[in-house]
Amino acid sequence: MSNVHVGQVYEAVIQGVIDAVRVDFEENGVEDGVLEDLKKKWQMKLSQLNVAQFPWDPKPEQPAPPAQPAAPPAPAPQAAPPPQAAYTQSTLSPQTSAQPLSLPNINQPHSNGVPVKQEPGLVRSEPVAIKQEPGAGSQPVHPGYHNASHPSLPTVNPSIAATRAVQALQNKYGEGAAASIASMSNGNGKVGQGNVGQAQQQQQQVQQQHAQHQQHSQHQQHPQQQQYQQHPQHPQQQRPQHPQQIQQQHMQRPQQGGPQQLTPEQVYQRQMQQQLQQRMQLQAQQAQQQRGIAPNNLPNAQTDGPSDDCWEAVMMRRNAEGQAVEMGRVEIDDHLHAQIAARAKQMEGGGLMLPLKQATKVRSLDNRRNRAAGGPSQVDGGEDDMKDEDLDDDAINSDLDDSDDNKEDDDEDDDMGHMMLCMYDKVQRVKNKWKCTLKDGVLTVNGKEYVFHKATGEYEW
Amino acid sequence: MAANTGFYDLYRHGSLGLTLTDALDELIGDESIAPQLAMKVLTQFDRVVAETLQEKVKQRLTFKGSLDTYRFCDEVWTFLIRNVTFKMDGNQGSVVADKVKIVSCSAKRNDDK
Repeated sequence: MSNVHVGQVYEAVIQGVIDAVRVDFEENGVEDGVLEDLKKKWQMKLSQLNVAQFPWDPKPEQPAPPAQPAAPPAPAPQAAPPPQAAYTQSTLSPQTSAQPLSLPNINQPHSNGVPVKQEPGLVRSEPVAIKQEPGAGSQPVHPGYHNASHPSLPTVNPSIAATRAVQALQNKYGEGAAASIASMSNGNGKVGQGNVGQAQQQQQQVQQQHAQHQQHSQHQQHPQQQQYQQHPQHPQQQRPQHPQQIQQQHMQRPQQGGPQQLTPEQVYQRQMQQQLQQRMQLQAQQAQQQRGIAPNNLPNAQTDGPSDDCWEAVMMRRNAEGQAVEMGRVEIDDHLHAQIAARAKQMEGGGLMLPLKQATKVRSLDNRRNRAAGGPSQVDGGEDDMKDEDLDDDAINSDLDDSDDNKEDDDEDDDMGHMMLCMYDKVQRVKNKWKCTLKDGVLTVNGKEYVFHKATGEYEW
Repeated sequence: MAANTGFYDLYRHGSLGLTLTDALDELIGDESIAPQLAMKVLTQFDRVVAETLQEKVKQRLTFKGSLDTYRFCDEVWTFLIRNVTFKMDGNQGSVVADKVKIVSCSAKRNDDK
C-alpha cells in the first residue's frame, strides 16, 4: 500500500489555503513575507512528521518532482534578505553612534570608512546599510554628551566633568536627581553636605509617612492598638514634618540661585541651570501634592530595614482576620509551620518532578482505585478525609463509567498514531456485524498517512 | 461542529491541521499575525481540505477488523477498531494496525448546505 498521492494532495491543500487567505492577510495589513513564512513553517512541520513523501522535500529518487521543489523554496530567499539588512543596520549603527561619544574628532569618518567599504563585497544588501550609516552617525544619539563635549573641550576640565555628571544624573534619575544636581552645580564643596542632608530628610519623611500610613490602616481595623501608637506619635511626627519640608525647599532655592551669579562661564551652563531650576520648582510642587494627598507614591528610601511596627501590624491583621482574640507568637509560628509543612508534603507526595498532566492523572487514578489500600505515595495521612469525599462522589456514578473513562484516556494517548478522519455515507448494523461506507478520509497508520475517496469497512463487535 | 462556512473542522485534528495550527501559533507568538487572522486561515483550511479530498482523491480503501467501541453522538460516529487490515485497491499489500480510531462526520449534512 503506497501513499504517493498524499504528497500531491497535501501540496494542493497547502497551496489552496495560502491562496485563499492571501486576501485576508492583505486586508489585515500583514506582509506577504509572513504568508510565505507560514507556508514554509507548515511544510517544514509536515516534513518533520515524516508521514509521507512531500513534493517540497528534496528527493533524489524520483525525477519528476524536482521541478516542483524549486518553486516552493524560491520564496524563501526573497523573504530572507530583509531581516539580513535589518541585522546589519542594527549592529552597525550602534558602533558608529558610539564612536562620536568617545572621540568627537572629525577625522574619524575616515577610519570608519575603511571597515565599512570592505563589507559590501560580503553581503549584497550592504549598500543600503552603508548609506544610512553616515546619517545615523551624524545624528546625536546622546545629545547631552554630544553637545556638552564640543563646547567644553577648549575650556577647563573640571567644568566638563561637572556638566557631564549633571547630565548623567539627569538622564538616569530624571527629576528625582534635580536636588543633587543643583547642589553639584553650586560647587564641589557643598555637594557632600547637601546630598547627605537632603537624603536624610527624605528618609525621615518616608519613614514617617510609612508609619502614618500604617496607623491609618490600623485605625480601620484595630481601634485598640491605634490608641497605643497613634497618640504618642501624632504630636512628635506629624508636626515636625512641615518645618522640614519648608527647610528643604528653602535650602534648595538658594542653591539654585547661587550658581547663576557665581559661575557665569558659559551660555550652555546657564541654560542648563535654568532648566534645573524649573524642574526643581516643579518637583517641589509635586512633592507637596504627594505628601498632602498620597504618601504611597513615594519611593522606598528606607535603608535601615523594616521598622518593627510593620511586623506588629501584620500580626495584628492576622489576628483580626482569624479570630477576635489575639494569637500569641507561638501560635502564629505553629500555624505558619503547619502550612509550610502541608505544602512541602503536597510537592513531595504529588510528584514534584512529574509533568502536570501525569501528576494529575496519578491522583485521579488513585482516587478511583485505591479505596481500601490508600494512596501509595501519600505519607501524611491527613488527606484521607478528602479522598473519602472524592470517592463518595465517584460512587454515585456507576463503575462502568469509570472503566470506560480510563479506556478512553488510553485511546486518546494512542490516537495520534492511528486515526481516521472522514465522512460517513452509510453505517449499517445487522446483529453484531457492522458495515460502513466512508468517504473523503485521511488515515494515519503506523506513522504513514493515506488519503482515500471511498472506504468500506466491515467489522464485528 | 460545522463552521459557519458549512465545513467541518474535523480535519484540523489530522497531521495537516495540527501542523498548520502549530505554524499559526508560532506566528501569533511572534506577533506577526493576529489570532483572528489565524482563525480565518483555519476556516479556509476546513473548506480547502474538504474540497481537495473530494476532487483530487480517487483511491478506494477497504478495511476489516473487530469493533471494540462504537459511539454515535451529535451526528458523529466514533469507532474504535482492533486488529484492522487496510487494503487499497490497485495497490498490492496491506497495512495492519492493532488499533484504529475512526472519527466520522455525516457526509449528507455537508452536502445539504
